[in-house]
Amino acid sequence: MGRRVLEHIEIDKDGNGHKVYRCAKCGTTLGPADKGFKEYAVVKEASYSHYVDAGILATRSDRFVLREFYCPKCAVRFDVESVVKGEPYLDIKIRDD
Amino acid sequence: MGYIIGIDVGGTFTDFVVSHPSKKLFHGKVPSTPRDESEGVLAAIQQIAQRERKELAALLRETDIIILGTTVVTNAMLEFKGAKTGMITTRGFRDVVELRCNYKESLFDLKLPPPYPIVPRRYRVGIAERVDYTGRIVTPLDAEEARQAARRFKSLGVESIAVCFLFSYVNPAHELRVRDILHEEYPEAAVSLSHEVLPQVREFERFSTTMINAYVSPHLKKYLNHLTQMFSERGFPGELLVMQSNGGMMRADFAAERGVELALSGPSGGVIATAHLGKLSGHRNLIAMDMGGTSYDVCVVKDAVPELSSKYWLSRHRVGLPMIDIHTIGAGGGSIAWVDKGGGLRVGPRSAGAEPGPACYGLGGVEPTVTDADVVLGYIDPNYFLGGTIKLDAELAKRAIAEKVAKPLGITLVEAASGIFRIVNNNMNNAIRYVSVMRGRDPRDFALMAFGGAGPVHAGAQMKDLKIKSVLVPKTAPTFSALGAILSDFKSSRVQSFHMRSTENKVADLNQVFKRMYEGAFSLLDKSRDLLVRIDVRRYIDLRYIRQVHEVTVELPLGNEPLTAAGLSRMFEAFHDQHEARYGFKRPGYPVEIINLRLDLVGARVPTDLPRVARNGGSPDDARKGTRAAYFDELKDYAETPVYDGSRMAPGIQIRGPAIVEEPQTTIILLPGQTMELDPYQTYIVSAS
Amino acid sequence: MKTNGKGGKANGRRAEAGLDAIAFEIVKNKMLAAINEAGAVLVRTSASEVVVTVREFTQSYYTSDGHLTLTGGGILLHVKSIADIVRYLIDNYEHTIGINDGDMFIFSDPYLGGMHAPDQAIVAPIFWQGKRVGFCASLTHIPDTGAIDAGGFCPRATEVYQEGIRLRGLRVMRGGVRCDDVFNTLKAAVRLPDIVELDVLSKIASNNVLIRRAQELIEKYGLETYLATNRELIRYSERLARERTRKIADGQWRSVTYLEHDGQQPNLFRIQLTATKRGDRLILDYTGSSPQAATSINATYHAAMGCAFAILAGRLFYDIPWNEGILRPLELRLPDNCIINAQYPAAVSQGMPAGGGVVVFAVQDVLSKMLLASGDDLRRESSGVFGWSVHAPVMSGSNQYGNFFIWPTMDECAGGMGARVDRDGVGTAGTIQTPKVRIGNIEEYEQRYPMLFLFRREEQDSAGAGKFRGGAGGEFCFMLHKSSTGYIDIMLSGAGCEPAIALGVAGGLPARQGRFVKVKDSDAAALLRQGRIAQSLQELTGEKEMLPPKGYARIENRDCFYLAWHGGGGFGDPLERGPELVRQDIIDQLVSRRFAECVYGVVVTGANADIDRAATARAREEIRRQRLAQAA
Repeated sequence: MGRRVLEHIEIDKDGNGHKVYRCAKCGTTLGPADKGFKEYAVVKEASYSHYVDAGILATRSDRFVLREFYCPKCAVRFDVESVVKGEPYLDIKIRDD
Repeated sequence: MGYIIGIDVGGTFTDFVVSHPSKKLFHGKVPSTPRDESEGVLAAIQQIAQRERKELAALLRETDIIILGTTVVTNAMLEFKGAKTGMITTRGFRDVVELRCNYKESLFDLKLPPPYPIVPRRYRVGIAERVDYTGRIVTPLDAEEARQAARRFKSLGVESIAVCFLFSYVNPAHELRVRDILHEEYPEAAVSLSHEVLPQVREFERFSTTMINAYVSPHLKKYLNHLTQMFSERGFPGELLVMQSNGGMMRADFAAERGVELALSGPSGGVIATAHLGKLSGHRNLIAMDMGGTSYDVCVVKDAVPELSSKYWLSRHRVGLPMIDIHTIGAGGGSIAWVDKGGGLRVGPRSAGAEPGPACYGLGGVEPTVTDADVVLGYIDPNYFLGGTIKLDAELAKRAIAEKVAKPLGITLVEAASGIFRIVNNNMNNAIRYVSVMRGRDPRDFALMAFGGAGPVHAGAQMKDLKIKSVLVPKTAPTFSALGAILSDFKSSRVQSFHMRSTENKVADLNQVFKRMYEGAFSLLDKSRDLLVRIDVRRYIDLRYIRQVHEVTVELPLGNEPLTAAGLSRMFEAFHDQHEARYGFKRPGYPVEIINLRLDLVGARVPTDLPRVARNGGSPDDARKGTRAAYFDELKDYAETPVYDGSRMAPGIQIRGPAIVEEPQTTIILLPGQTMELDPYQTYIVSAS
Repeated sequence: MKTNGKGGKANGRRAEAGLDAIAFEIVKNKMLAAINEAGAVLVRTSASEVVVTVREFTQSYYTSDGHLTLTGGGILLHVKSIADIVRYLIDNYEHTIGINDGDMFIFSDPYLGGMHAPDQAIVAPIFWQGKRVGFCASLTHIPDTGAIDAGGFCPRATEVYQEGIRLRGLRVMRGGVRCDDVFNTLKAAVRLPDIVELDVLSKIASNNVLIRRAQELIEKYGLETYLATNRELIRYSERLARERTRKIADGQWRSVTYLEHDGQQPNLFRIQLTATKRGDRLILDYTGSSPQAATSINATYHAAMGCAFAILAGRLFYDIPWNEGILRPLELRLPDNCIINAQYPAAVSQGMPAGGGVVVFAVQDVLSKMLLASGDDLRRESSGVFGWSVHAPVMSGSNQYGNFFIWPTMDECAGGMGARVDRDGVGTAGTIQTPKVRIGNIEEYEQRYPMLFLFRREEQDSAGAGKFRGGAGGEFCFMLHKSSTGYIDIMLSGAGCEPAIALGVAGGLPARQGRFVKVKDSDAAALLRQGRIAQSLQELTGEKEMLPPKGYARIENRDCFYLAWHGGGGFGDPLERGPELVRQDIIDQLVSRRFAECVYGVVVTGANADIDRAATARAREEIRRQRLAQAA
């Protein structure tokens, strides 16, 4: 088992001893750990207004978005950001030495 | 005049105390029968009959009253085994018991789950009706919706229904109407109306109390009916009475409808016994302390009357009715001592319980506890714990304290044990300060009444820390609650919200409300008048400065005389003074408001005389059974300390500390300089040096 | 850049000579008991809603040179800043007007400490045999400051001078005698003189308890033990705080949160937090946050510090005695002229509900992620963000008795708790920074204020969804009732009405935004007379005006006012939630069937809400398919 970053994201070593991100749910290797894990996730970004119909949000807004990050293999959701459009990804750097 | 039998059903034992005008008071115990309490109760009566060499029926025929302390309500709430309960509220307010005014029991325990929902949201129904704060009907009751709710509850198998409307304490018309509708649609259902259970402003307190009442009453009623029938079938002509949480008793048939008022039925007796024995021993102001294995209960008795509080939590649900004010902390013989990561020595609140129990029990416990410290310090004889019924292993106690406390802190074994002893005492003293100092009372004006297995070991040291002058240890402690039952009086407590500012003249209305409260309370006592020698009326008013949120309760002169305007002004004056006494300041001339009226009707029975043994004097040597080494902080060392056998102590013998007195259920430790004697009512009185 | 000084190296283990572990524990517990006792005196004597229900009060002990040694109370926000006030008192008055036995000094300047002008502290020296041996202080939030707006939160203020009287250590007690000149001056400056006076008296009574108990401790255990315990307390807390900090995963996390309104315009402000954890140090760096606003939403350094402290104390250091020791592992970096480090004389009265308030959310967000990456015992402390709509709408006007009232509504403090890693958050249960908050009974509100409530309850679908969901938030709606003037005024100072800030963690969704709605000229009263109690805004006629999170509103005649407050953020992917848990929520009407289908992929049928297993499997598969369709 690797080093947990978030519930379903962990840092592990691949066969060559390089640090990589893995999906902790399905085991898929996402990519080298020298970048943020969000670079390898499937990203869905939509304005708040998109979430009002289902009842997730109560108030429409077009300057804010929810940004969802999924495992490209098993589609589990890793993380959700609630940010202004254009905000860079909120990165996490874990020191694991 | 015949027998009076007090019975207290506890978790392990069902205790009884029996008095008879021409016989000596006696007491005993039988095992409790938790699955069906009534079996243990019957067994107790059978044992009494045996002791009296009578047939059961003959004994019952000669019995005037049986007074019962019961855990049926407490257990229903502890195990959440009450009736399937529904709730009808004003539309829009079914979540009152869910929002619970945002109370938190444990401020930073973010892991604490919500309280167990005794009426989950699916069984809480809002219907159209609305009354405003003046009592005016804003929206008429929708009777059809009430009917639908009744039918729905019936189809769901709901057995008991709480009806809780906003401002019903001002205008109860809608709640009363819904009761009629429920009786028509679903006559089998038990119904609790909020304005009857607690006619007081603040819907959270009222709804919650009513919900608990609805939840616990059906089982209680079944149980009390069963007992009543069981006794009457066996020839009992007298009355079955039940101890209430307010320290008084009530006829079983009335009590059966008011389950929530029996939440502290058992402990109530202990506090009554405290008040009574204290009074006999010349102490009217007492702090009762009950130190058991895991918890430490304290309660204040002021002027021979137990203090009541209306802020009780029952399994995390609010009870707004006046109940004896028992404050509990996690400190007892089983409390575990530990060194925290900052290097501080802490005791409790975690407890080793009965299993594995303290290390010295030898049941596999390795954590050092208060009992282990008491053993190391020589206070408890490992061979005479609980009268010798449990053998303790002093070596295991030493090892646990050495490993877990002394070594990490770099101190000696005895320093560690004495530290544990002092810290747990300090924690318990803080509980005493909580019920005294925090309420504007000086603990030095009180005597301590110590009971529970571990209490008298620690009381002497606590007495010194708190500068208290006397500690009382009753020999009757093992059946204290049952004793309290036979000593208690009838009591009916009423509270009614009544709003009036000191600038208004509503004294006639106020008298009218008091009159109604009196009549309501009296109707509950009326049937029992043959047993009463006197009825006392005590009236109180809750007052505060306008805009304050908390009230001060001021007592009116004894009796039932209507108040005059001048009398009321005197109450306001008394409020200013009491505010100053409690909180250090007053604002004379500033307007005051009345919030609630309170009335207690106390029906005094023919007093039960406790046996009195004359002081014959005698020498302590008559009771001395040996010596052992015990540690005293005052001496900073162990001292060879005389040990006395409690069963050989007679009134009049005086003992001087350091000394150890062993009773079958407890041990009393006297510090150097403290003195003790047994008084004519079988109560040890420890006096400060 | 303003910082709280460098964390520095840890102090050694037990250092204090002559102080044994047992005396330390006993004196510490007695000091805590004194703090609790003083708090009880405050609550029982105060007339302020904010003191009595929200429990916005703090009492503390300090060393004679002004170091905080122990504190407690109902609110964590002020814990740090009063120490700065005590040091100001020493630095400025010790050698001038003097600090003598029986003196007490009153403060309410947000640039010295506290959050804003309503935060009023009274500081008293503790003397023993003629020598000063320490200080104590009591702080409460008073209901009015004489500011341009009743209640002291001032959306239209642009300078602190408009935000009410600011006190810098007036001597309110001299040698044990009350100074009527100060009382009279203060009473003349505020709108509710009697209540403010009672609150000052309450704090004096509270300080008297603290002083008396300290003197009793000294009498019993000796001055040296008392002083040594006070010094040791700081080191003790520091040791524990550093040890816990060390157990958190090393790394760097970033969180951004927003303020969507400045009180006058929907201008957007950004608060960026970069948290770096290394060894036993934690650096909270706000570089990159917006510059200060022209209005009163700014937080002072003290407010920002207090908000960060509150979350760390409540979530990480809850079992460690609170004093400046627990701040020593922490380094706070605040850029100058920043929205959360405003420069005098910027207006700051909304600094707590606004700039400071969102600090609360940002710190929770990074903390949840940090804990999740840490060892198992700390991982269990992770949770979604706690709901709290930062609203505090302040209502004022004439009540049904014809008297002026100010009522800061605190119901929104009963937010939903964040979901935890192994269970749902508790509904309408409260915030971390105000743990003792009570919300009042409707019966008390209606007795005091000219209103009639149509409902107050948990709001359906308000909780952030997740494998474990957050606790539900709440909502209420009232109309005017028996108003003597036909209107009341509401001053709004909310946040989180546009951005969803009660965030989830690890794939959990945020809770809905809070809302303020005015229903103009509604038919609520007519419906009531006909036997109908409107239970949603849709049931009412009248234009529904979404009010800005900050600003003013007047509710008059037939208008209704609606408020919804946040639930808690969810934990984990909602598709991992057990269908039976979803069903139970549907039965309790906490989750709608539509929400269950769209978010949880759970389909139920019939009156019993039986789970349709096949349809549920299909719905969940379809949601997963749609998620991956993004990649294309």
